[in-house]
Amino acid sequence: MPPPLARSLLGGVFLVLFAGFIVGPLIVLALWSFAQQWFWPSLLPSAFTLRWYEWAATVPNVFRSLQMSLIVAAIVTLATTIVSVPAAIAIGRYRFPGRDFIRGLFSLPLLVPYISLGIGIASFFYAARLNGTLAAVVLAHMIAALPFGVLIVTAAVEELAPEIEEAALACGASPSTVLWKVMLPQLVPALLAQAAYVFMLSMDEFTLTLLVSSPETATLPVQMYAAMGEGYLQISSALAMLLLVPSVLLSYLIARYLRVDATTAG
Amino acid sequence: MPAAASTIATPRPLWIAGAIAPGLAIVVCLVLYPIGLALWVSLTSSAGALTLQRYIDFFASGDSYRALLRTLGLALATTAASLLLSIPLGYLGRIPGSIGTLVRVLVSLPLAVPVLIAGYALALFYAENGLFNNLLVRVLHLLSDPLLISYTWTGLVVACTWRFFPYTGLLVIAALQAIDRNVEQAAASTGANPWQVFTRVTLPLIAPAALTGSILTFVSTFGTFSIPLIMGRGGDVLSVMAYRKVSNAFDWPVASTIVIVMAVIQIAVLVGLRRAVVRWTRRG
Repeated sequence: MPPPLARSLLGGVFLVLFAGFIVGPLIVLALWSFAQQWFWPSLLPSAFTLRWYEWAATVPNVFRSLQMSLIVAAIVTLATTIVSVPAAIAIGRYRFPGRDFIRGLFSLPLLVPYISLGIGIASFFYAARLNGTLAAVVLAHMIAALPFGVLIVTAAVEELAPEIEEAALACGASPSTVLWKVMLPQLVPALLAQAAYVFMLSMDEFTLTLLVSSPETATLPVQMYAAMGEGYLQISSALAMLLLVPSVLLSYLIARYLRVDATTAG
Repeated sequence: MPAAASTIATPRPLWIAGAIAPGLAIVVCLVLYPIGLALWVSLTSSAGALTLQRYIDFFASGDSYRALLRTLGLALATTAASLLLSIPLGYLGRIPGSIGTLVRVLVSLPLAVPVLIAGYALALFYAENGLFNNLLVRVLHLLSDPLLISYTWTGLVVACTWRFFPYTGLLVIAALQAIDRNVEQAAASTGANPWQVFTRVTLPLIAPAALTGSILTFVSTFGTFSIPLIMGRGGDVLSVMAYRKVSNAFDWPVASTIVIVMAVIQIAVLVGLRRAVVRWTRRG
């Protein structure tokens, strides 16, 4: 066994290298977004500026894509909540034939690669002349969001003690009173977590959106991809920061206050 | 009041059906139907006859066969790299106090970064004249020439590892934290050297978690689209190939065949390996 000092030194070096591996790319992205110019071989940008963010705020395409992202995310969050809460209550609270099968169906979008879903939906929307519309983007995001919406709320419903609802019924409350005054108030943290998670997922969604949107309905990630193709490092970095910072903050808030371990693939 | 209790236990079936119907309709119309459509398109010739010709073409064509191998290789290399990274992190992550907390925060950070942005940030960081090479060549003088990482297959592995290793890392950290340290100490005090303690005691205990995490890392990398779209100039993986078939040539049948092959592989991995995990856990 190596002496403890050597071991902790080894651990320390590993930890520093690992921290650089994780944080390094994000620091470079932030530096690029504020860089006036940054030429090899200088280690850091020679001057810093906010003009790329000002530029992002004033260029119509970018502004419209940000607007589109916010509108889509708001509709998707609302619609996903409306669809997933009743389903989650039914699945989480009651036993009925085919319950496990239906629960599995709601996780189906997680079973296949995103690109398979995307090509399938895009060819369907293309045939239905839906491609490029706001509805197409919203529906695509809802498919991505629904498994998480149902999963998060179902888990919360299963945590509720049915005795409280039974007590309310025994005291003469009607089933709808029990739903609105007893169950839903207890579900508020889970509903917030679900909404925050779905909102973030919709803001960040890229694969499906690229396949079903048009230039008029392009969201911020799609606009960022277009900017990357044009090769303006500062502009695409600034757009990336606009998406990255809220996403990291929201993830932190969800993990800190709402205690939902939500991980996603894309 | 039994009558009231039974309201909870047996709601009207119609209520249940109504509660589930909207979500189910979305899944059926926008998941089952489109996947079924892609499957149907991939199995019919342009004349409309049922045929396996498109799959034969897929495996016979050098391009798509190479893309399949490239995709599987990328997923395997990323999974292996993630596992190698996760085990030392697991030991650091179970140190009580701020070091452990720091490790867990760092490990979960990539999960909060949208995949597209992760790909872009890593491409910038590892660019030929980027900060990483600048540090190695000009500051630390470890190398005389910059390393070519961004836009190569290696760069893809690095970027996918950065974004997808946390699935493995977090599960391995949690599994190592859950181990009773007395078991490891007992093995050490009865004469096992550290390597034996690791391979005979620790590794079997964390294996189910490591395998579950590896499945998630593998599947995420196998299906990823955004990272190779940005990083992969050295040849497309399957997801990007399918996208290009549609965006460049409107070739829906070939794109459908590619994504069905991908879906079949992913489902096989998820179902097959999960069964292995369950069997392993029961035996252990």
